[in-house]
Amino acid sequence: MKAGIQVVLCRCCTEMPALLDMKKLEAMASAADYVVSTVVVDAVCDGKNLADAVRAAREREADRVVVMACHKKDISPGLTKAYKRAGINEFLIEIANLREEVVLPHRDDPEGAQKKAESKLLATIAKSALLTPLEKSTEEMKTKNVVIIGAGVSGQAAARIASEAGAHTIMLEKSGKSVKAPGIVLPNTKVIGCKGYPGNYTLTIQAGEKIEQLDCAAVVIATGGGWTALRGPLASAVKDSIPLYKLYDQLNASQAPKSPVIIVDTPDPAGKTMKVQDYAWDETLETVIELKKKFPETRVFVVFQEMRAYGLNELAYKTAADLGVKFIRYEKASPPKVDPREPTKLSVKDFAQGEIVSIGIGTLAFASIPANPDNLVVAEALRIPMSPDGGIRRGSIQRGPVSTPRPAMFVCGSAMFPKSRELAAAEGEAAGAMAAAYVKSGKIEFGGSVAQVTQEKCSACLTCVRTCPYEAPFIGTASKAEIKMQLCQGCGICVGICPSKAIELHNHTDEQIAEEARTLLGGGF
Amino acid sequence: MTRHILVVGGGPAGLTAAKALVGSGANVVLVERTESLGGMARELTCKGLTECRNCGVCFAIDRANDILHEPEAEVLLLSEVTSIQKEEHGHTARIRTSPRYVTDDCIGCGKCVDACPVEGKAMFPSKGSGQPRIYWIDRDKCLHFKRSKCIKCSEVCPTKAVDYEDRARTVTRKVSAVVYATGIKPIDACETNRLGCGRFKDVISSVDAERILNEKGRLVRPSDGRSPKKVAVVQCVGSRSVKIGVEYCSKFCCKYATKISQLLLDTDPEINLDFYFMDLRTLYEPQDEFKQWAKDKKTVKLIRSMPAQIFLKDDGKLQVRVASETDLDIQENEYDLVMLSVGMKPEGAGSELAKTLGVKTDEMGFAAADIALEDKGVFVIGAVSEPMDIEETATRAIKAAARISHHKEASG
Repeated sequence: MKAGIQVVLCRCCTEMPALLDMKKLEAMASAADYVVSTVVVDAVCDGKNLADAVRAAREREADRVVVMACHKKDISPGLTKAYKRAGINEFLIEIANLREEVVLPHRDDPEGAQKKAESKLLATIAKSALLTPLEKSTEEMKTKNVVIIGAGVSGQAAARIASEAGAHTIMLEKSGKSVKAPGIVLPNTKVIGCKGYPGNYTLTIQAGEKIEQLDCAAVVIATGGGWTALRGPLASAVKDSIPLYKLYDQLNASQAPKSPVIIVDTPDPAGKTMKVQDYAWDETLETVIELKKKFPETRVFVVFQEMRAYGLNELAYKTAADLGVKFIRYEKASPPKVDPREPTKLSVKDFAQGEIVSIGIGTLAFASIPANPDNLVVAEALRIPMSPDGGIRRGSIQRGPVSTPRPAMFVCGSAMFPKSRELAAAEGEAAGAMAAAYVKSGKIEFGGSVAQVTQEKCSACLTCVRTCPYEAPFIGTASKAEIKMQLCQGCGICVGICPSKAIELHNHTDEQIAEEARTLLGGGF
Repeated sequence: MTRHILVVGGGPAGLTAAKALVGSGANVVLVERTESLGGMARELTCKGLTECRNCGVCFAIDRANDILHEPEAEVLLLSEVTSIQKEEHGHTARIRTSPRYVTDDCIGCGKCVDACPVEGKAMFPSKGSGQPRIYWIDRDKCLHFKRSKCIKCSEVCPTKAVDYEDRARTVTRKVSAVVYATGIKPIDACETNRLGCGRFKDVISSVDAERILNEKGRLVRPSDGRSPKKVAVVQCVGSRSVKIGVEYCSKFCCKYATKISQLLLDTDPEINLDFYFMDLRTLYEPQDEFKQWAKDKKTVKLIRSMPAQIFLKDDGKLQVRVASETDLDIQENEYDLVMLSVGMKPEGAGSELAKTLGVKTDEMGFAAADIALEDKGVFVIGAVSEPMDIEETATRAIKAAARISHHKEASG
């Protein structure tokens, strides 16, 4: 079928005509091959203008559209919807950003801007003529399972909210502790592998010796902080070394701790340390205030590098200082030390005084939450990147809070970086709600502008399989590479790297890109 | 039966909660005091020029766009809840909408502003990146409502969107739960007079800096419109200060100030930047990351000291007097531009509406969120309850929306 293109030139109210000769652009568009309709509108983002353009497209039987307007993100959703209703395939709508790429940067150079706009118009038309219509596919989710890894504060909160919202929750807990949570709880279980794609993941889980497969639609990672082992030089020198939460538990049981020293900013376990210890202050201040209130006679020291009492904690800091808690700040270069021969004395150079002070230690409590060593196993199994200090990396905020770089996988609590109990619980609830909302739709949409392998050209060299960041290519039954459409994000890396030129990205084929480039350069190559 | 939820406040907290509520099948009535959605985020700038810096501003603006296209969400702009009454199940709210005098046909072209003869204009676009992009008329300034019956804006409008007959409306809505998310406002930087804010044009608050960056894409001196070459960033202006009664830390200032600093260096690598701070509390970023970045950039200095006073020199430069970091010497440094990172105060935490709903305020004036209130169907979320950044706000809003969905009273 011969292509029929409609060209929509947006005046963007007054911005475009102020710099560009719209009449000339209109004439050029009308004269170009395949163009059956040219409309100039005041603002294509306006509903009535858009409706006029769509009507013209239908009358002239255009099957594809070139829109010269502004940023794709601003106009695309409404525009796509309107043309789709008129029977035009959404992948045949090309939007060129004339406003931000031509008008704004070339304010002082009308001639140059006009030239750039003209070549942009012709190139977009040339590319548009070669586009092929594409369809998106949908697939049902196999299950409504939401797997929650970790049964701590955040994990339990996630399970509660997700099951209330109608998801089936399955909680994996590495220890054998009994957990009260809705849905299924699998103790002594860890996740060791993951296959599939968002909405239809299959996890490989290990319970003791048994290895099983578990289908799920979404995953919530709530592995928490890595409290288990305190094994650094400070902890090994002092017999009574505990993580801060144990000190808190002692207080709740009304046991008076013996001259406690709390260390913030120096996590002391073997393994990775997490540098962000902001939320350690929440717990530290809560604990010392509680301690001073219950046992006013006890001497309490807090040794730290950077004072980071966020938000309203600033007031708690003041309260603690008024109650007589001693705060000692040290420099990174001279950290606190304990001489193993005299394990009851901690020496630290007080930054404010500039002197080395010696403090008697009874209990040495570590407020900083170390990274959970399990994060490495989980991240490798689920193929999620980690942050440099050993946490699970969170995704861009554009995907929403508590997201990871992988769709339908969420992360909450101290698995990312240390959190206070209260915030960890809040994040757990949010992650549970997001996972449940994802599962609720029950459908996965995929396809469109994705990569495809021409099997005859493929030499099964595995280059694409190794390169793809989304693990979409695999070697199929015919011993040739294939692309799993549900995983393909249309990034085009495999297309560029394939030595046999066997892969093509729909609507970004060599032919289409070359034609666009050729026109941009004036047809001379 | 469909639940109806009242959301008070169209900032990041209210928008995220409204979106999540609509997603769970509820109907939302969103009441916003100003002319557009987005709250504080409207005037903030995207901090990522070369890479995403996770500042969260786009998240808020995207949610504003989502809500406007959501058929299950009724968005009432320029509106206020005038009265609210507790019923056996939920609340009955009366909401008054002020006239905008511009219909939804407005395409935001701005021809009306050019035509407006009033000095200082009577026609305004929505603030910053606020959504929707529809203009509004200030009745107190507009000549049409005075003797002259001016109709200049109506004449030039290409879509005939100006409607002088627009009237205030009052609607009554029965809702099963109320989300209170009135947000924050910046502390006036000029309250700390010694830093020259308000007196010197080139001493700007971080909010001004964000607004300039959002509009122009780069930072310029307000006095002469030139790009500054030497910039000072001063942290903790107005917060952590007993003197002006804001004893708390505003929590996200270090986050935005460090990201603005990075953005400035992205836009112009030749800028010399001095960063004055008390404690560096960069949210979420490993602290050393910013320090490392500053170390790598030869033109950035981190100085743990707070400027005492700022003077204006004859050549228009600003002289900052500050105690040196290591000894007690007094130094004087010259800058083209000084940015004061201001803290935030809760907005509307102690309003009549909040009192009627039973929302209590704490010693610093923030609305205290409590479980007992949630049982009654009133949820306080966002920065009005305690200082928090957009990301945490979004997390807590989604959490609150999930709680509302399974709330006994709210679903009854």
